[in-house]
Amino acid sequence: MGLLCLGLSHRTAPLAVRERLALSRDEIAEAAAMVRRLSGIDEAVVVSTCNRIELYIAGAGRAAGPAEPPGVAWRRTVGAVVRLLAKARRVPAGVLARSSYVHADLDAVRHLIEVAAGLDSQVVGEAQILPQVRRAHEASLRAGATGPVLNGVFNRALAAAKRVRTETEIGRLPASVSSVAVDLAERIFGELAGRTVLLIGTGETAELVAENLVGDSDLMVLVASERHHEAARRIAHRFGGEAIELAAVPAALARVDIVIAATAVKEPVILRAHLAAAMAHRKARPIFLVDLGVPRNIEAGAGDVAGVYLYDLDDLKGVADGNLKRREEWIAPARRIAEAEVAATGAWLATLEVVPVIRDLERFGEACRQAVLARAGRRVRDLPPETREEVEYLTKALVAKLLHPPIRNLKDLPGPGRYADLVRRLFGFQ
Amino acid sequence: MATILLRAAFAGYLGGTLAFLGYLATRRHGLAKIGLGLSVAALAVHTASYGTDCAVYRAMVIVTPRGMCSLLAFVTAALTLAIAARHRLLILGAFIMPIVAILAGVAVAAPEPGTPAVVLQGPLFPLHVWTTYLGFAGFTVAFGVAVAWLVQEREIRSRHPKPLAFVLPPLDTIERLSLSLVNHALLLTGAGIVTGVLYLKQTDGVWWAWEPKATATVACWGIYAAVPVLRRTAGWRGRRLALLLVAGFVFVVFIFGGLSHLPGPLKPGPR
Repeated sequence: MGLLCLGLSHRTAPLAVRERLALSRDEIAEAAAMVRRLSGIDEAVVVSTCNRIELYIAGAGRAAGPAEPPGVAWRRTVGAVVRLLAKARRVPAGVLARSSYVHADLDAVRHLIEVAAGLDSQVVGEAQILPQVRRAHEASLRAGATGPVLNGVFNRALAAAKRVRTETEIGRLPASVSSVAVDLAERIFGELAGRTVLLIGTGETAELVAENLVGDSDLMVLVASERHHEAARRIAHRFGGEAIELAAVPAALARVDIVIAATAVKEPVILRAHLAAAMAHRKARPIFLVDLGVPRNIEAGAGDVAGVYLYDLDDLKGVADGNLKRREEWIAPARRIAEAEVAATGAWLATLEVVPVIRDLERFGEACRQAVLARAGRRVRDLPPETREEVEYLTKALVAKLLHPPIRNLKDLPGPGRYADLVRRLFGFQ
Repeated sequence: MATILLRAAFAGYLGGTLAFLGYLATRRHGLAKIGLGLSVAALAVHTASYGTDCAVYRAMVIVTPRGMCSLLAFVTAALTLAIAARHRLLILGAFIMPIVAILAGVAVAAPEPGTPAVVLQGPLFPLHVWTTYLGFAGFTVAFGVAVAWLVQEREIRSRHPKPLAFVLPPLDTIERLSLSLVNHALLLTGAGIVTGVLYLKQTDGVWWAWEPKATATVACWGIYAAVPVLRRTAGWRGRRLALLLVAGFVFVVFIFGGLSHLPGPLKPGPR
């Protein structure tokens, strides 16, 4: 049984090709089932994100004849998959072949672990890829397109990716302006559920940060705007909040926990004096202000007030850039963890290879036992029932005892696949 | 034997402290696990040292500088590890285990006791000792937690937070934890003071002897009692609260460092 990864990503294919091939959540299950139906493929999982589309397949490869080497069979399989994809997504097969990469066996395992851990992502260590890989596997599982090999490989790869994220800082440090803002809010307030957010401005930036901030949390959102009151109402409605006038912002500071300011104004909307007054009413409850406006929406000195945490665009960008550099420093330790997990998965795959041989050996032993008993004929049949049971027990024990050392060594010796082949030849198994 | 075990426990606490500090500096999760493992092992050895004490003296030696520091180290380590495991806040080990290591180090350096000055006997005296020490351990852990809050707040306020800020727990979580610790420790220390007074009346016939350690303990309780009071009445939170906890701990250090060599008012009860 071989393992193959065929894919293309932001490293090998331009956006124009990737977008033609991108599959929705529903389509990935269908695609996996379709690939699974190709000759020589026993299992298939399709991973599709905005930056990559990858097929993980397990099987013997599409061989033209029994004596054909596995490499040739796999090349034929890859060709068939590429043609299938090209036809289904209307992309020239030549373009697909030029933009794609192939990883076989342990290289495929290594690639999957690196993908799941975010080591192969455009932004190293990004967090979204891990659930995307998990969902891809689950979709294939539901579609009946996967089996013991890919289930084991994916479960191990997901566990390895989690280990990488736990034991390194590759994904711990936020690396984009909006994620830094959200993470800092969490560092101040802990759980964000039940907090109140004030959005100043109705632009795309303010809405995007609010989107990141709200996520699954139960946040109360207030939206303030000077001119675009209708837009403010729309955004407030979207987040289940309320729209207020810009003039009401200073008074609102006493009741909100987080302020995202991203509006185009010439003078600051929030002054130090506003915050000093608000803090007197807040009984030292902290407030977190994110100023994304240029020119700034919040007076620079406002951050000096006790209990006020103020970050502007440059601050957030500085933190994000610093964190991104630090993430890159963790790539080497992360790869070491991935390599250890590749070795462990390789050992597991090797034991998987000997399972059919072990079953054949056990069947062979049982067949020999039955043949000997049949040859004994009446000498055994005429025995009293208790003695016959005793003979049954003894012959079974003898076969088990004889098969125990080869079976144990098949599992334990390094390179079990090699010995499996030897056993097949020695005993004449197919 | 007890001394050897205490030294081994000290070595374990020290190793655990270094590993936790390494985790704080490098944020390598493996170091936190090593710190936890070493601290748990040290705690087990420390427990064994008390077992040996009990076998030799038929009592736990406590009212000597060595006994006081050793017991506070023991209870604080147990409380720290319980909190770190329950709240998954291994990073707190970096702020509290150094205090445990220092306490254990002082206990190791202090002269060995001849025969125990005071033994745990009767229901009142052991109750007094355990509640008081659990309370002091709560104050000690609250100090470490307050320092963690100050570090985290400084990082976030700087507007250029280092990666450490993304590893330390949120300010709100740390503050809640420190308040919970102080509230529980106040109850326990309060119970310790009451049982001590009752025991003194039982053995010496007086309610209060103005003994320095007992008086300092009551003063210390008063400082910590101001924490929930000021929070409710004056809305004290954050930095002010953290600094109050640091000030309170200065008193704990004074009791265990400055007054531990003085004899206490409590005498051994009738056997």
